[in-house]
Parts: sequence; structure tokens; C-alpha cells
Amino acid sequence: MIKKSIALILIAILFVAIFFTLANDLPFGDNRTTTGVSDKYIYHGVNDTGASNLVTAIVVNYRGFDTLGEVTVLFVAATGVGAVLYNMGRPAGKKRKKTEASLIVRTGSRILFPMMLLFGAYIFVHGHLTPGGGFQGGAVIATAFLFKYVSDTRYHIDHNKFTATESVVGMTFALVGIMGLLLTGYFLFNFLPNGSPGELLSAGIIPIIYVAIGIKVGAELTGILDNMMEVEQ
Amino acid sequence: MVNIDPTLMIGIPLFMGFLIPSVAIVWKNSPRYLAGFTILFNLIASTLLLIRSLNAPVISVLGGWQPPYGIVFVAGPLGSMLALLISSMTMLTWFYLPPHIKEGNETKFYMLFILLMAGATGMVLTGDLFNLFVFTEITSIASFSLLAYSRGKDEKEAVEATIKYMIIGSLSSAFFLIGIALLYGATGTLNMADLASKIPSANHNLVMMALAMIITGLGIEAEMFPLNGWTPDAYTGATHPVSVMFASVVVKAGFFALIRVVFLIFGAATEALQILMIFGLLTLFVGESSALRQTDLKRMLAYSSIGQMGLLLVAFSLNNQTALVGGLYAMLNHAIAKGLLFMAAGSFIFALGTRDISALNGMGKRMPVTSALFTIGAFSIMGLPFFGGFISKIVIIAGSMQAGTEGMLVAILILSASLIELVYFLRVVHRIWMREPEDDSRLKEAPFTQMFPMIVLAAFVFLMGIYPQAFFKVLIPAAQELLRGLGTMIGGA
Repeated sequence: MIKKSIALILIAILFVAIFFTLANDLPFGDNRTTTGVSDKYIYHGVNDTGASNLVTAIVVNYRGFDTLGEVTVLFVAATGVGAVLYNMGRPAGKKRKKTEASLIVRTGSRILFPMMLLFGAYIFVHGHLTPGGGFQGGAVIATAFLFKYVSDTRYHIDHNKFTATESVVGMTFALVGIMGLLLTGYFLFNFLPNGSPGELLSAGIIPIIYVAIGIKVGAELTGILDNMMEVEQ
Repeated sequence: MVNIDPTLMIGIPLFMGFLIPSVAIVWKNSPRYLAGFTILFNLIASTLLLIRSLNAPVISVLGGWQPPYGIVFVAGPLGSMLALLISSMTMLTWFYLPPHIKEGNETKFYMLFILLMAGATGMVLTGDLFNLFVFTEITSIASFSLLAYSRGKDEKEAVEATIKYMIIGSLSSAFFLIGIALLYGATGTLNMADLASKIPSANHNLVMMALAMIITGLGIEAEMFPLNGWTPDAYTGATHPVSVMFASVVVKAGFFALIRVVFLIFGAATEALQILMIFGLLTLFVGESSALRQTDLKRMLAYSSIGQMGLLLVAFSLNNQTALVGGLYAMLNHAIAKGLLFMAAGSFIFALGTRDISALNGMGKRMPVTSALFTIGAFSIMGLPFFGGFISKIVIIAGSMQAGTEGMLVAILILSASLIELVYFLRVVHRIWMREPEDDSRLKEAPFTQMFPMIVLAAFVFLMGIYPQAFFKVLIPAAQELLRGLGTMIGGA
């Protein structure tokens, strides 16, 4: 009890201190484009990278290495879930009963599934043109598979196919980086022409990377879902 | 001589990490060899990198965007030395792995294993603050997953430890990320050298708050008291080779990230050094005195690890060249000797089936080689002459003597902490060699492939004790690099 109240008081003091420091000193609303690196991104981004979506230009081109790292973070997390849940099924006889989905859900999912896949693909293919990108598109694709699981209790993905897909696209990203190093001496260098901004085939290596990320994230998230479903059974 | 770009030390492991699962579908035993090959590549690359960086820091610009607009890898003697330490410890642990990971999904283990190495290597080589965060994430998520890998008797414990570590670790990254956001808000840049040059003119309150957040975040990874609640459980619950990786790679990379931020970005701000000094001393004493009370071998080693990290914090916060060299020496010695101790302890526990220290009675007769190796590691951590630990403690104390009366006090405190260390390690060593075993039967020693890494580590412990000059050749430029700061290295970017 005493421990708890001391902790609470400490948290309260910290909160007040942090809140007032930030409220007084954070330069909210100031024009800060001239002080840091942001003006270069804003004024030269389209020319430098050929991507009309500036966020993508920064995420995949200027700071593409971070994105390779983030893809790895998700990959490690998905692998970790698989490793942790390995052989961790419920003891026999304690199976949770599953109810078949209704006719409406089953029919609806059959119609919606391909459309969701298409929408996900659209988001990552147009990552350098419109808001969205590989991670978002991949998440949409995984949602489509989740839909499959919800509507059909017997549905299962083919693990080997998913693993192979994931591997191939992951290696594509790493290879694009290594090719940049071999061709120009810079890892992840944009060695393809920028094209004219706004067209589907523009922005150099960005579309390749985003298609790879989209497929990879979709496969990974679906893999996590599948791992968890197996534990349930 | 062949020059290998430092970015390949990340690129190749990531590529292999993605490749392993699909090759494993057709060839089941491949992950071990592919992982071994990757680690060997990193070992060679980091050796070449260290030789190159002794002349001039190796800078590799990613994507061709010059700093501060893009990400940059900066490998000075310090970073290259750490990279070499990481890859060689990973290589040696790779030899030690087989019987300890049989029961789980080996393919996934090897993927996580090399990605852990890649993450830690990235942490020590990157010259960009946000990139440091990304690699910290890779390293810590790979550690959570490897920690949860434990099977059989320890499984429940491992799961509990994982959840604990995961919650604390997520808090750590949240703090670290908020700190980075505040710094970016105050300066508008993420490149370390650029940050270092802009921080003096930025809003002081914001900078200090960012510093506090980052110290909290990275302090968790570096086992700083009172942020180290996850440590004992994690070391105890993890399967033995993973404990080795924690002590020798993960915690060292986290500690190094903390030191780099404080020294290179904040220019060794006195506020930060005072905090590190106080918490370092606390960590030292809490760790050592908790180790004294343990009856579980791995738990004792875990607390001893915390104590040693405290010693490192104290050494670095003294902020003079002698103390820094001593701190780096202690860092190397701890990575090598504690790795050796965890491997030997793992072999004991594997043979005995219990972690209880009292079961070690007479092990000197039952498993003589492993016992001898364990003793060498223990002597080095204690700081007995002719072992690496002795040199490191002597140099740290010499460094603290330079810091006036306050330094004298620090020296006395370090010596008394060493005394505690002496007591609990000698107690174990005494059990191993002097006590009569209850059961006289010889136990099977580990096969040579597992003995080999322990012998290599023991040889290094000796080498560090009798020929320290060889190590000083690298450590002195490394310490100077920390003291000089980043500004001159990339021309302020």
C-alpha cells in the first residue's frame, strides 16, 4: 500500500514536471523548415527521388535503410511468435468449440476476398503516388485472410508457400540494397531512372521495394494470424 | 587488401535471415550451416574493418544521400572493436549451440540468432540516432523471441521472464523514441554529428528532457539499477547459449549505445555523467550484494553481470582517458569472461539437471575440464592477477585517482565491491574443488565442439591478463574517439 502510494506520487510529480516543460518549451506552430533537414526534403524531394508522395520519398529513399530495419523488426516479431507458439497447442479434450459462420458471412467473404486483395495491392503499388505504401497495403491483405479464417472454420494457409513467398520478397529488398552497393558504392542507392513524377513507373527503386514490402507484410501478418489460430485448436 | 563495406555486415545477415526459412523447406539441416557462414562473413568483415579504422574512421553513406539528409555508418576504432566483439562472440556461441536448442524450432532459432547479431552490429556502427532506435528494436525483439525459446523444465519460467522483459523493453523503446522525437523537435536533425553541433544552441530544457528519456530508455537495455528488474529472470529462464548472448552481446550493445549518446551527442554533459555515476555505484552494490545471496548458479551470474555493468557505468562517468580505457577493458573482459562462465555453467547444468549451487560439490573431480574453465572465468571477473579482470580494475582505479578526493572515494567503493565479488565467486570455486561430492561418478564432459569456444575464451582471458599492450593498441584510440566527440569526424556534416 505504502509502496503503491509512493509510486503514484512519484508518477504524478514526473507527469507535472514533464507536462509543464513540454507545454512551455516545445516550439509548436513555429516555422521550423529553415532550421533542420526538412527544407531539403520538402523543396527537393520530388526532383531527387521522382516520388510525388513525399512521405514515401523520405521513408523509402532518403531513409530507406530504416525501412529495411523496420521490415526486419516485423519479420523478427513474426518469427518470434512462431518460435514461441511452436508445440504450444492446447491439451487434447480442451478444444474450444467453433461455430460455423452464417450463410451471409460466407457468401459475403467470397465476394469481398478478391476485392480486398486487389485494394491492398493497389495501396502498395501506388505507394509512391498516393497516401499509403507497403506496410498499409500488406495490412489490408492480411485482413482479407483474416476474413477467410472468420468465415470458414476449416480454412488454412499453406505454410510452405507463404514462407517461400516471404523469403523471396525479403531477399529482393536486401538484394536491391546490395545491388546499389555493387553498382554505385552506396548501399540502397537508387540505381534506376526517376522517370516523370506522377506516373506509375517512376521513382526508381521505390515501387520495387514497396511491392516487396507489401507482399512481405501481408504474408507475415497472415502467418502470425495462422500461428495463433493453430494454438486455439 | 580487400575492403568490405560496413553496411554489408547488416545487408548479408538480413539477406540470409530471409533466405534461411525457404532453404529449410527443402534441406532441413541447412539453417545451422547458413547461419555459421553468415557469422563467419561478419567476423572477417569486422576484423578487416577494425584494421582499416585504426588509420581513419570508415564512413559509409547509405543510399548516396550525404549526411545529415541520409543515414550514415561511422566505424571508428571503438565501433569496429565492438562489432568484432559481437561477431566473434556470436561465432563462439554458434559452436556451443547444438544440444541446447534441440527441442524447439531450430530454423527459427538460427534466423533470430543471426538477426540478433545484425541488430547489435547495426547498433554499434550507425551514425544516425533514429537508425540506432531501429537497430535497438531489432535487437530487443530478437532477444525476447530467443528468450522464449526455452523448452522443457524451464519453459514456464522462460515465458514469465519473456513477458516481463517484453513489457519493460517496450517501455524502454517508448522512452527512447520520445527522447528522439524531442531532440528532433529541438534541432531538426537526426544525424549524430549534426545533433552534436546543434545541441549547444538548442532549447536547454527540451534537450535535458530528451537526455533523461534516452538515459531511461537505454538504461533498461544496459541493466542500470533500478531499471534492471528483467535481468535476473531473463538470464535464468533463457536457454544457456542465449544467456551467453545476453551477457556478451545484447547488454554490451545497449550499454555502448547509452555511452555513445551521452558522450558523442550530448558532449559528455556533466548532468548526465553525475546521474550515471550515482546510478552506476548503486547498480554495482545492489548487483554484487544480491549475487551474494543467490543459491541458483545462473541467477548468481546474472546479478554479478548487473554488478559489472555498474562498474562500467562508474568507469565511464569518470570521464578521463585512463578511466575510459579501463572501462573499455572491463567491458571486453566481462563479455569474454562472463560468456565463458555462462557456457561452463550451462555445461554443468546440462550434465547435472539442476541449477542449484550446492549440487556443484566436488565437480572438480566429476567434470575436471569444465570446472577448470569455469574457475578461469571466475578468477578473471574477480580481478585476480594474471587475468584480464585484474588489468581492467587496476586501470579503472588509476583513472579514478585522477579525479581528486571524490575519485578516491570511488576507488574505495570499487575495491569493496570487488571484495563482495571475491566472496561469492570463491564460495562456488571452493565447492567445485574442495568439497567431496555426494555422488562420485564421473559425468560426461561436453564434446570438443562445445569445449572449443570455452577454451578460446579462456585463452583470451589469459592473454588479456599477461599481454594487455596488444589490447591497449586498440583501446586507447577508442577512448580518445569518445573524448574527442563526433564534430571533427564527419567535418560537422
